[in-house]
Amino acid sequence: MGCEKAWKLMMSRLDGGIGRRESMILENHLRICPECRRQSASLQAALLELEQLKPAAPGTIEQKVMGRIRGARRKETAALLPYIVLPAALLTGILAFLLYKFCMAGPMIMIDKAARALTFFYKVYESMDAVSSILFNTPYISEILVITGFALLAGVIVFVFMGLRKKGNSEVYWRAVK
Amino acid sequence: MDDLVRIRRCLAGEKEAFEPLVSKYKNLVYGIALNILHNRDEAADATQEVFLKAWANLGRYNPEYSFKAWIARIAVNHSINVSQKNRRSAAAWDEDAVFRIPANSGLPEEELLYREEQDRVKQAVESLPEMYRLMVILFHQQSLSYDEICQVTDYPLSIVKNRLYRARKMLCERLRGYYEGAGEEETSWAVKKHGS
Repeated sequence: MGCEKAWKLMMSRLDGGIGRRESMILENHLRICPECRRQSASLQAALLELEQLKPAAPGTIEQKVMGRIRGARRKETAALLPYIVLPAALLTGILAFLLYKFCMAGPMIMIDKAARALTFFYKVYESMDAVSSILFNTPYISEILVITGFALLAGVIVFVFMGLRKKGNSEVYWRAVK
Repeated sequence: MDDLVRIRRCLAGEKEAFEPLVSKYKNLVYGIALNILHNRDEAADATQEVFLKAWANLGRYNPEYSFKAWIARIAVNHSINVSQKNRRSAAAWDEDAVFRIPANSGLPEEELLYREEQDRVKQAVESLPEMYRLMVILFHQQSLSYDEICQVTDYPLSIVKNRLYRARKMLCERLRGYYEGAGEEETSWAVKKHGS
């Protein structure tokens, strides 16, 4: 076997992919070839040395990284502000408008309007009840529809909340930091 | 506990589950950063940034690949970006004062020879072109497999094997003069010292 083939076997041995027979062939070559023996020994020594020189990270890395990750919690709250501020501003505007109307028109007109709105919703409920009685021959269908509606609304709220929480875990960090 | 379990817990909002991952891979990330940036403080800062990037992008991690390779890839890319910004060229280990032993330090001769050998190896690795050096560091120092190096560098297996082959050859040539000068006896001493 020539030195070139011996070098290839040396490389395979460093990769851990050498069989017993090939290993014996290489060892035999190294015994008779001082040049390859020197190369093999120096390379092995250098690579083992390199492994010994593996740098160790400073011990404070975990603290610093986790501190910054934990600190992002406060920023998450700040990142949620647009979702809170906009509906709150809208609600405040509506309340201010109603208060203005109340002051301008007097309390009796507002109470009358509220009563009329409630009556309207009650009439809608009664109509649904009547239609369900005709269609399904049961008076409880409207209750079922109302409960389903509430369940759907609750589902949407939970979905949005969970979505925001998941988003806060990753993307919010960059939104807050950059 | 498996890395994947920890990642799932992180994605579920449990931030503390990320700490064991930092502890497990901090030396890998720091080692890569130090070899590219050549500066301990910058490498420590880069290590922090790499983990924060990894945490922020955990949702994008593909569990089919190893987390070790994924974080190593982030470390390589981030360190290269920082390096390009800084454009430094000092030797990576030169700042490592632990290994700088003055001639009259009073240490036994064997210890001095060992330190001298370490310096030679450091210099030889430092003198390799960056892409070859990275291959040697990832494979021989950080113990990444060929598949993981492929994931880190985005190169096909044939290129990775070829580069590592050439890197070893270059390393051998660069160390040849030293070991020839030191003699065969010393080389065998070095191998024996590491238990090979």
